Amino acid sequence: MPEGQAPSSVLGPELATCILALTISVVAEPRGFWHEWSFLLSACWLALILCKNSRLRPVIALCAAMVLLLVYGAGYVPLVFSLLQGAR
Amino acid sequence: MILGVVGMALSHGAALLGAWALFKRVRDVPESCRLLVFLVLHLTLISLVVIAAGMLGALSSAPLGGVGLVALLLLLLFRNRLGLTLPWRRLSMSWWGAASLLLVARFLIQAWLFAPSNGDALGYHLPKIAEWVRGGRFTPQMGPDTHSTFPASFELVEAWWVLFLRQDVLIELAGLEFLILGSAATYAIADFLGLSPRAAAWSALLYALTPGLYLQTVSCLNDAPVAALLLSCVALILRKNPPLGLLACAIGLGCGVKATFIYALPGIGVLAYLFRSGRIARPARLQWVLGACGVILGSFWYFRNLFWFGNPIHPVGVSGLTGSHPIQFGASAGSLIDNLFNLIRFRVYDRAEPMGATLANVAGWGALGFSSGAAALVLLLREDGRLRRLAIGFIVMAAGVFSCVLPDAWAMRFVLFFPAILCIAAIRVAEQWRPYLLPVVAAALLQVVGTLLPAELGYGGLRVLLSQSWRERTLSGQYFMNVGDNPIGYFADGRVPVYLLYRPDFSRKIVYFKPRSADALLAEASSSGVRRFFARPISLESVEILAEGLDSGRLRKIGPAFYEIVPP
Repeated sequence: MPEGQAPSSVLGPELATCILALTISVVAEPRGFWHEWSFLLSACWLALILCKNSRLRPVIALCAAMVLLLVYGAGYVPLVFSLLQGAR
Repeated sequence: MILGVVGMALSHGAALLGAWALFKRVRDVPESCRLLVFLVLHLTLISLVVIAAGMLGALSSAPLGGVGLVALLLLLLFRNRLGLTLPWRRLSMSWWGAASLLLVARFLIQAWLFAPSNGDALGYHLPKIAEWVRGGRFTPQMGPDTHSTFPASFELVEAWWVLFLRQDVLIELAGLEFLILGSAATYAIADFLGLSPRAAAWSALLYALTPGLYLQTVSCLNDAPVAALLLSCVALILRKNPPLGLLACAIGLGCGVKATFIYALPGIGVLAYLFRSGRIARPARLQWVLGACGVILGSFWYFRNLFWFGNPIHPVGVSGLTGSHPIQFGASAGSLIDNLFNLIRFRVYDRAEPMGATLANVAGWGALGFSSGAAALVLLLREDGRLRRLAIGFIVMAAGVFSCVLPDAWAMRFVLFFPAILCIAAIRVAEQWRPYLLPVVAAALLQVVGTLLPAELGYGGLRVLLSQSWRERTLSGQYFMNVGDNPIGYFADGRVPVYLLYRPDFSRKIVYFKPRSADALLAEASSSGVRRFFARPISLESVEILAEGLDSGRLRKIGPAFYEIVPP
């Protein structure tokens, strides 16, 4: 992956925005006490900000994508198969 | 039927060849935009032809087939002068090519087996097509729904697929062209962002597999075409020296399909600013002509409403539209916030209910948009300045739409352009780091399964359709009792799948009653030769009219929501 091109001057505001997004996704109602999608994306974003190793960044994105896929599939797959089996 | 097939072959052939002739005259089309430009020209051409035929009373197979024959002969006669060498190329098979062919083949099978099943399509999109085909022209009667008078450029393309055969078995193919257009635009955008041709092609294919987009196109709904046209505008605006005439055509088509297209235009403006490339060259003459076509397409329905109803956006007023299907007028910060939070909190998970084409309570972005697309975008936004600017434009487009539509259960279908950038991001990361293909492929496979069947149709509906021959394929029996009368009356408020009453071959006349009393209802029925009618009144006035007819013994109920006039 190419080296991060975001100028260092925006790192502080970016970090602050990211932490704000993370906080909102944790405290926001009403899905229990946090929202998986926004939380995981914010966490991924935070990890990408903090990670100085450019080789690790896609690995972080991959981990986030896999977890998100599981979250999505857990809700979506039963619906699809119930539809295809004529349960609806 | 044979004459219809001949007329269809001639007209479709002439339209394709005509669009190709126009395409050959458009200069400086980048390689990545060729398919996109051709499709925009083709859609422009057939939209203008159907508008002209609809106004002149020539909306049927014989006159359009005749015009098609003459046009085809002229085009073939002057093919050398027009430079009409056909784009035959040796096809080199690739994984992408095979996957695309499979996807198109599956769409064709679905189009053949499915019949219109979505409530919005059956309630107000398709009845006007049935009236046009029956009348052979644009008719003041467009169906009973409050939304019947909305812009109908997608219906022009649908009419193009049914009017020759007078049969709706191919009606879903109108959506296929827009699905390909959306993919072609995604390809062009991906190419602009520096993806290799192969990666750009895969991102285009993945976008076509976006569940919300795909189910819309196979269900005769117009939000996916709006998304495709918005992406076309984005792809054209990103070019150095954007072709303004073509851009006007795409904008005109979009404005004519649905007003939600207009809500996203500020985002296109932002993109034009962010990707400006200095002085814009004076457009060639053809671009002026195309620009004029775009103006006609974009304003036609609004002028029609102005002349017929005195209001270009009839029936929406400055206070919006109230009733069972309300519509917001103007922008609202509250709608923007609510729609945005609805997306993030609930809809993007696609788990509220089985996904249908209307995308009730779901976003329809699919597993790829939710997982690998979103994570890849977060990664790339920090590293790619051009993608960052593009994302700003997309966010402004989505914000424009979200601020102008009510935060109801169906609002997410208006931003189906957004998953395109997620697909591009996912493939961009996978192109540079192969292990990322793992979640991408897994999500894509999930979407292949998720786009097999819209929830509105369901397994039960599909079984009903499979038991019928292609000529009689309809879900009418699921909604209406079998009444053989022709004509048949209709007396109902609210949204009813009235299109099904026309029959798949448009052979039945529907007489829409608008009585003020039971006497008036009987008089309307008598004057139009109606013996039986469908009735589902909701308003108190309508309920009382029906009750009066029944109490006086002049009407008799013969089945669920069907009534018969009792002879005196």
